[in-house]
Amino acid sequence: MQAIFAIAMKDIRLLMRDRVGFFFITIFPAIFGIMFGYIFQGSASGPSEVAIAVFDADRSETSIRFIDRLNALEQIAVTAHDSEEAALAAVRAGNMPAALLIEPGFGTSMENPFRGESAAFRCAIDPSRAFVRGIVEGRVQQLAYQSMMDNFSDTEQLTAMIADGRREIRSARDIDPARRLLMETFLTAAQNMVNDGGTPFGTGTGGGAGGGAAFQPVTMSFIPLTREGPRLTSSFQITMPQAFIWALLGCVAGFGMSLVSERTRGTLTRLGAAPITRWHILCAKALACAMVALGVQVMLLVIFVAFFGVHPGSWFNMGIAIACSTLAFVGIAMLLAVFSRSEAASEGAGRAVLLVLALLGGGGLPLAFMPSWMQTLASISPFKWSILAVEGAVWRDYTLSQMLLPAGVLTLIGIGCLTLASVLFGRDPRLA
Amino acid sequence: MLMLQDVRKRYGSLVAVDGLSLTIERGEIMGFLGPNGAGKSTSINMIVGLMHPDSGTIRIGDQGPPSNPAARRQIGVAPQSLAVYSEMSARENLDFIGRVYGLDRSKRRRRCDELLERIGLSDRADDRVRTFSGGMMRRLNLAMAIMHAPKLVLLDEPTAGVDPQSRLAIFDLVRQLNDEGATVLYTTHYMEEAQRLCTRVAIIDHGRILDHGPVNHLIAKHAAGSIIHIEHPDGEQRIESDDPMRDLAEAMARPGVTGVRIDRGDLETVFLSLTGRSLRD
Repeated sequence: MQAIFAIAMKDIRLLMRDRVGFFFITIFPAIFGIMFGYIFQGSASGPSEVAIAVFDADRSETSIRFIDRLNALEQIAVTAHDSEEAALAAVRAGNMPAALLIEPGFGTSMENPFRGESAAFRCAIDPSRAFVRGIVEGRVQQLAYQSMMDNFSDTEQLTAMIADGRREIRSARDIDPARRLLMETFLTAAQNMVNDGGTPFGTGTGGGAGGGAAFQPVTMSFIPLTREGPRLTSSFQITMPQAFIWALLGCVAGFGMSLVSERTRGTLTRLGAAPITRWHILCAKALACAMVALGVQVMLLVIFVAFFGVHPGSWFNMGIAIACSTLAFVGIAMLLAVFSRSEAASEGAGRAVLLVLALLGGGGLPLAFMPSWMQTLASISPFKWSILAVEGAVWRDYTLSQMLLPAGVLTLIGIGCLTLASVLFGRDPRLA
Repeated sequence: MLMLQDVRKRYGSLVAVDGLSLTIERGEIMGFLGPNGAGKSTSINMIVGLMHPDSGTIRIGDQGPPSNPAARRQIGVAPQSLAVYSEMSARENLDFIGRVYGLDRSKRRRRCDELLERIGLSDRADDRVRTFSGGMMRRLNLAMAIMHAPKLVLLDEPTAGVDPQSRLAIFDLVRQLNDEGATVLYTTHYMEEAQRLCTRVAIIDHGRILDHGPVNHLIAKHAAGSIIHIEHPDGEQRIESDDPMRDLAEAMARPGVTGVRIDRGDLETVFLSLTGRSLRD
């Protein structure tokens, strides 16, 4: 045990004296997290795609077509839910930034706007991501207006709408006579225009802005929603997990080269000749890597908590996230160390593979801002699971059972890589 | 102290060590000589447990094979490459290796001071090794090998690339170690070093021991004749002779001879006579 600790402390001492390596493991991640925290804070652009939980209570052909068209819009990704409560729960849990509830009668109202009742939505927005409200409201109104214009550009459908509207007005008993006259006059004028070969509302390609500033084809009411548990209140809650993974990447790159460096300088011969096993050597390297990884993550956590107002929703989950991330990336570092035959190979692997995985896993573009397909693709990156675990502890408010997935994936990666590394190192015919 | 019995090692189709058998008695300084690629380094790597032989037996003292950590504890190795941590000080390097071998703090401190004194680095004990000269690093490399006071010390080209002062210091250290009871296996390309230091020499080539024994015996056996060096204005001629007086008289009778020198056969003559004159890579 003394030998393991001695080798680990020696590796840490050497790391501390390697200014470039030390910078990339400790200083760079902190700078990254702080700098991008400020950048994201000042950015008004918001995410590249807004995911909307949709519940369709109308279930008409029109509402289904509307949802399809909404999903086809840029910036919008729709996920259908079976109930209103399920859609709202997705927003409360932070899984979706917005929910759109289509009310019964939506189809009828959209098909005949002259009935006097506008098509209605209810909408819920994650208060921590209030910036999506404008996107959701604008895109839904635009689409509703466009759908209506499409109906108006069809003269047969428009004639039927006018006739239907006139019937509704005549049969209505509680309507004010002056208003009745006004509406009758409007419908007659509209019918005359249709008869003359025109359409009273153009072709519908002009979008909402062309249809009159005050006219809204649909009514949207917003449901006040409270996020359960801690919410995403600061951009630093997003950039802190990113800082963690840049620190972990630095650890993997640094300690992935440690065996190669020992081999190159000949000191592996000395260690191999000492009365310790190969397992001791690998274990010492893993211990050093783990100590540095843990130390840097704790340091970053202290910085972000103390100076940038990041407060984990669950300290217990935070502990799990840090421990499991450490295990996973120590395993990856040891596997890289055992595989690498030269410092160039180790460095190349660090740059070519790990950097891509880090960027894909949310090291560059935050996971929360990624389109859904990219989030799915990111699952191949261990960095994604690390970010998800840390975010789960910081603002996603994961329960212990929800933490199981990212923590479990990280643990499996760590144990798998460490096992493979120790088997390969044990079978290596040449230690020196 | 060290016994190798019919040890074999192959790298694919290349036979690196081919039935090597050698015994080194306690307290000996055994020279281990051979051309490049003869199998010296592979043998050393197997002795210290870095590689396993394909067949054969290696025993370290009474502790069994080098796969046994207790056996490896008796060995100290100074690799040919400078196996030191250049970003640590000389003292930190020695202290680290002492910790790896399980020495307690007070023993480490005492041993560090003692070794730094012996290798002449007390004044530079706390300087980073990267600021050292080649000779200083080589001395530190040797000190790290003996930090835990091993009974068997393997020195692989311990004087490669050092100045005469450092070489002498290393010779003194090797002799001191031997006087203290350590057994030394000394690998070198410098024949005069082996002749000067070693009680016995083994010459290896193509993975086999060609001959071994005390230096004088090997010289008597393989280089019994004398070597006459005849100097001309154009250069020097070397003649190996079994009857030096007769050959010398003949040489002196030739015109243009400016000088002569007679040497006895040496270890280099033995080495060349056993391993040949063809170049090795």
